[in-house]
Amino acid sequence: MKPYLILILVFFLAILQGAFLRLNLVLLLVLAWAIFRPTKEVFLVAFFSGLLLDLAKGMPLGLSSLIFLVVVFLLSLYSRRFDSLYPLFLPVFVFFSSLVYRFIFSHYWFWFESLILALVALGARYLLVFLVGRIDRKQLRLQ
Amino acid sequence: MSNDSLRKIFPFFLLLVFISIFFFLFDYFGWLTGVTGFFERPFLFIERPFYSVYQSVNQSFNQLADRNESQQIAELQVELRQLALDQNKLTTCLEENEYLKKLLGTSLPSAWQFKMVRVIGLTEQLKIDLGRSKEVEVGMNLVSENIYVGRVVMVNERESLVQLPTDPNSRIPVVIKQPGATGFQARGLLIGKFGGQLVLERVLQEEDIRQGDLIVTSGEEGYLPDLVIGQIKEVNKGTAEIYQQAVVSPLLDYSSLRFVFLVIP
Repeated sequence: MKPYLILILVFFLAILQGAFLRLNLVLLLVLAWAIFRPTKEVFLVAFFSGLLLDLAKGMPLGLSSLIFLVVVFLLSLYSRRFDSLYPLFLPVFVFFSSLVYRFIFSHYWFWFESLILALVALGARYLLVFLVGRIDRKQLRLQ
Repeated sequence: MSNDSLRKIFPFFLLLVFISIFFFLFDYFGWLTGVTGFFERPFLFIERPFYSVYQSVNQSFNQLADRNESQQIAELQVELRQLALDQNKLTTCLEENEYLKKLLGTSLPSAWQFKMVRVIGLTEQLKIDLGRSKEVEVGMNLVSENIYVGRVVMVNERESLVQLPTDPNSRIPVVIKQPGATGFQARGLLIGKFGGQLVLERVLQEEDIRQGDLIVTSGEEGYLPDLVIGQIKEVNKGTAEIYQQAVVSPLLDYSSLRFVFLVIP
């Protein structure tokens, strides 16, 4: 699978967020992607995901990209200090990122929504580990 | 995270940050309207059916949950809303009549014009399918019948975002009217709260406000006058407070809105 095909999923989630979904699943996806993929690729995904989200939500173009890039950069810094595969790493990062993101756009602290997103991140993290583990096993078998 | 050296790709990161800032500033000053308008089109095209499906599913789910009860409540709500509207119309007519008598012989303001817009999304703000290309401007008010829906806070080329009264950043100067009575009882500030609630604040303790009173826009700070927003559900008179508070229930279910009217004063 080409890594940038993730942007199709981002596009779909951005559409849902633009129409009715309040949880920032695009942010969650970008951060989850950042844990498992090379940094350069993640920067590009973060940049384009931000643009897609801004277009879908009708928000100022480039602002989400900027926030995503900074958040991914911070995540890459912290993942050198801490074990990024630790179960609480992603949810904690998602919680604070979502909180700051929503504050920048709405000037209001959305604690509850950020908490729900963090819980979703906890589940998504296990799913990703499972999927990535399966892909790795397949690649090993092919080799 | 992979073993890429962060220092190596730092210039790449800075480049993307710079491009993002560039996009943001150009969009902010309106120099990207043609480009964003072009890219917004497919999103609008896809979002519209998604939102319609969401509304239908939402309504069906609610009906399935408790069909009889929800039907009765919905009917009563419609009836209550109609009564509230009628009462407000009557009192407003009486007041207008008085004003018109006084204003006879002077020039009256030109009549408002209405433009029907389609609701294409609802998250924390309402999204409508008209933008700068149709001369929508920030600050314009939206109504449904004569109920206040919201105020345009952001305009893009083909879509606009509307701040609802339930938005936590919303602060609307209002007057409180007793149904059937002329004039208003008190002035206050209607504030949106997290979770779609409305709270009436800045009403002095000595003011007489009651459950069932109507909350109407006062016409200050760019809001159009005499538009009903909601009804007082519960009054909380704190003993040591200067002001009393009231919980207000909106007259509209914002999630069920499909079309609203943009007021062009």
